Amino acid sequence: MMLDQGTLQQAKLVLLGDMGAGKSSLVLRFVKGQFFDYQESTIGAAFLTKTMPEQNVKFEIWDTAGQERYHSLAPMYYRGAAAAVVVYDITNAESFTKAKTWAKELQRQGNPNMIMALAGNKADLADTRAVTTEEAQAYADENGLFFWETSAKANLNVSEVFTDIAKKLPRAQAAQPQATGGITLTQEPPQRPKKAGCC
Amino acid sequence: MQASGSDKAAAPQANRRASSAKRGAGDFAALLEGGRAQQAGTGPLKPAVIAELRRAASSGGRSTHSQDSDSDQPALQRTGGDPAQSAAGVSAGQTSDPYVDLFTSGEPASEFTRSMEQSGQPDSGQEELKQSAAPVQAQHTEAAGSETPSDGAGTGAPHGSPGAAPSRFASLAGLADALPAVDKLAKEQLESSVGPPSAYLPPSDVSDRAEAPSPEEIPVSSSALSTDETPEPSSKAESLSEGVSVGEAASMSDFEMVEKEQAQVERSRQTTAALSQAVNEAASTSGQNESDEAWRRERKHMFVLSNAGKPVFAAHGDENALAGFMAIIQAMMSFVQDKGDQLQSIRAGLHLVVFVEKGPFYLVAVSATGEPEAALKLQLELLYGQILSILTNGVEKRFAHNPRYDARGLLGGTYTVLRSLKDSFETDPAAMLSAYLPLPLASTLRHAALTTLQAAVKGVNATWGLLLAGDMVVALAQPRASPMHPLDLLLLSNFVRSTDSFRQSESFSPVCLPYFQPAGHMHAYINYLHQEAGLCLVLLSSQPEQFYTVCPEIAQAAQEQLASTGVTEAVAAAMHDDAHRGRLHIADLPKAAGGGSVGTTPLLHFLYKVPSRGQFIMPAICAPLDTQSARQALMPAYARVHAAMFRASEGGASAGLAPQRVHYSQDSERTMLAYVSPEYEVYAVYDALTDKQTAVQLCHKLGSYIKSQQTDLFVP
Repeated sequence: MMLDQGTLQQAKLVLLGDMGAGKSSLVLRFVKGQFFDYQESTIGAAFLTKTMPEQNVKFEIWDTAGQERYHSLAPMYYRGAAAAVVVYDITNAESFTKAKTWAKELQRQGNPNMIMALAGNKADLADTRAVTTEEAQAYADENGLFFWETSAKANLNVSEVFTDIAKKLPRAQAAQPQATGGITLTQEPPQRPKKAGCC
Repeated sequence: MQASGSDKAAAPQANRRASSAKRGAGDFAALLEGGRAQQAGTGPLKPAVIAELRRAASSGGRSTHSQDSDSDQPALQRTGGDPAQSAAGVSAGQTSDPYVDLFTSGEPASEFTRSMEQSGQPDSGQEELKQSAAPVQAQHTEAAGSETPSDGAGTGAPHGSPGAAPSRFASLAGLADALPAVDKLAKEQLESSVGPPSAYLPPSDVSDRAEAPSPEEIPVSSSALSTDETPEPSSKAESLSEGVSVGEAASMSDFEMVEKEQAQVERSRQTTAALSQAVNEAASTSGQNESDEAWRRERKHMFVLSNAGKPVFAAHGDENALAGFMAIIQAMMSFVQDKGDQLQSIRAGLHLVVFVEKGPFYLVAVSATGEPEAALKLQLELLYGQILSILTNGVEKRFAHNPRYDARGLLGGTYTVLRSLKDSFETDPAAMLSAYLPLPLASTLRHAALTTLQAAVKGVNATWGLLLAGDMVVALAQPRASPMHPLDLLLLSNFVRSTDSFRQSESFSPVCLPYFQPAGHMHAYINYLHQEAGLCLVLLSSQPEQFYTVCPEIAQAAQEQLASTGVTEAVAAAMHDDAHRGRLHIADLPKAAGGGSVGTTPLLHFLYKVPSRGQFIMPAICAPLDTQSARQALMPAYARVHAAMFRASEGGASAGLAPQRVHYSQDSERTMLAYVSPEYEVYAVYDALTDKQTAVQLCHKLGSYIKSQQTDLFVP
């Protein structure tokens, strides 16, 4: 299935954030151009792929569930990821706190070269904003994250987030090998999941 | 009220129950009385003061009792003792639903109320009282023995005969009146257990509950969900706060205490009224609750609450708005538990209320569908199983750490799964039969599907693989040594089917198979290979390492293979038919086997189960059963026949007796014939005019026809 795309750089990307922040909506907007006003809660983690030919990148996107019960499984998803998008809801201050927690966890336990972006979603609801752009921007600058305020509903800045990440991907590393189930030849240690990370 | 009589079995659990019920009751008392504990101040516990306290408590209890029976309770009624009352409770059209009166009616004197009143007397203190061994309590424990649960006659009443329905539970209205008594009980227990600080250590059952079952053959990630990762505030804090409020009580003088008792009796009466008002107000802001007309009209309710009374799930309405209602359920159940017994069911007019305790949860069904108690119990157990399938039994540890834990956060996003399960009980006999429904498919296609599935399972090193189409199974790959439990399959299938996010993209999810291993979870890969047909590939593995990377590719291969062999097309064609969704049509069966279009055959519907395969088949519902009322009546009718046949084999006093082999019944709606043998079970519904001989003949012919077609009808 991926033979014809051998020249593409494959990159594993994970979305993290509080439940209801809009992770799935962002991904669906980006991958399928769809938006649903009522998006069902994600259960477990959804797996989607999106090719950006202009960037010569194929993203393998893990859209994780935000619920508390799945937290201990998160390392399984972000381990070996080349990039992460941490999503919060600009109308919900708690989700921003949660986003900072995720960013911290990724910095501590994730791939050290991981490219991270912070997405303040639901920018179309700026009237009821609870997190200021300045505050989020300051946090992102401090921690070396890309920052965008996005709206999956209004299709605002969605592709920009992923384009930013695609541009930043280290070109030297060819295909991120963990993508297709082949034997991993490079970066063996970081990709070997520690026994489930959950027990 | 029916209560399990076996003292022997109850005895080891009694202590545990008593302690958790006490906590629960304490919660409830706090709910009713608002800030009582807030006046807390600590003081030394003097034995003399404690003894006085107990005396005060017992006299206070009596006064509550007499007040209750004088002012609210006209008389204690036995079943059908007062025709006027039974008419009010059951027959009068407007109150045919007992919940109509739950909070508003002044109609009391159900037998349940009576036992609640008795709770006002200190004779129900049980173990805790015995342990403290104060003379005041000795006489009370003696009295406790004489109190026997009511007989089971109420539940034995024939369904659908409102006139004969027992009046004692004709309305649950008495509950509201009984609340002060419950509150009293809670208070008493709190006080009677005043003792050295060690009495407030976390309950000893913590270790029991956290105990991990022995590992199974197939490795399962042990309890890996977050349920055990971040413990809630420890039980130490719980015990501390309890201790504080008791300390305050103990430091007061006797006189103050008695006064306080009386004040509290009054206050709790007022708060009961206030509670119903508050609940109504809450409903207007947060959602449906029990005072909502539409809510009361629902034929079947299911509730899940923690044994501390916290709402977890309500099939209808908003569980937040129903908090007051759930608290009442908790009070009822913990009250009976305090007597070392367990509340089983209550018959209230057309409604049957069934109670089940599982782990840290109480599950309650309130049904007017006419299903028997055994069916509702099984459904509640499955509902609990579905909760475990999402959370694993790690959730029990959370409750062990903190009995007041709120489980709703953990279940977030999965209420559709639980609701869908509850809805499936209305149309799907899979739970009752403990078997799954295969999609009829030509054997060559089935073989192709199975080969593909087995290759996929092997490719990803999975343990089980399923190919589902809607609520039916196209193929199942399972190790010979550990076939999937039919109820696990039912829960898994429901979980997959009812989760919309799986339809949007291929997904991975942890899932627990509670009948296989409730302590751990498997990693499930879910991919809809054909959206319209609902053709879905599910792979289950206990080893995540390769699983997550290999699955998408393997699924792609499987999808191509299924398409090229024509399986996808055949399944899509079968599922395309909106009315039948892949089921058999009675009209397509040969005439000899009872087939034929409406009016030409007496056969209306049937269930045919092959126990050795763990599968059953049933035809699509068609005229004349396709009206709403006929549809709604069908599964309960099957359930009653099934319960009648298997009652003997389902434990209880008559355990060990063989089930009935043949069951024939006829009423104005339908004729039913059921036949059970080790090879197969048939349950057939004929039109009401069918005579016995025709029914038996058709049943035989149907059986032999299905046998001749079994390669196409069943999954190998």
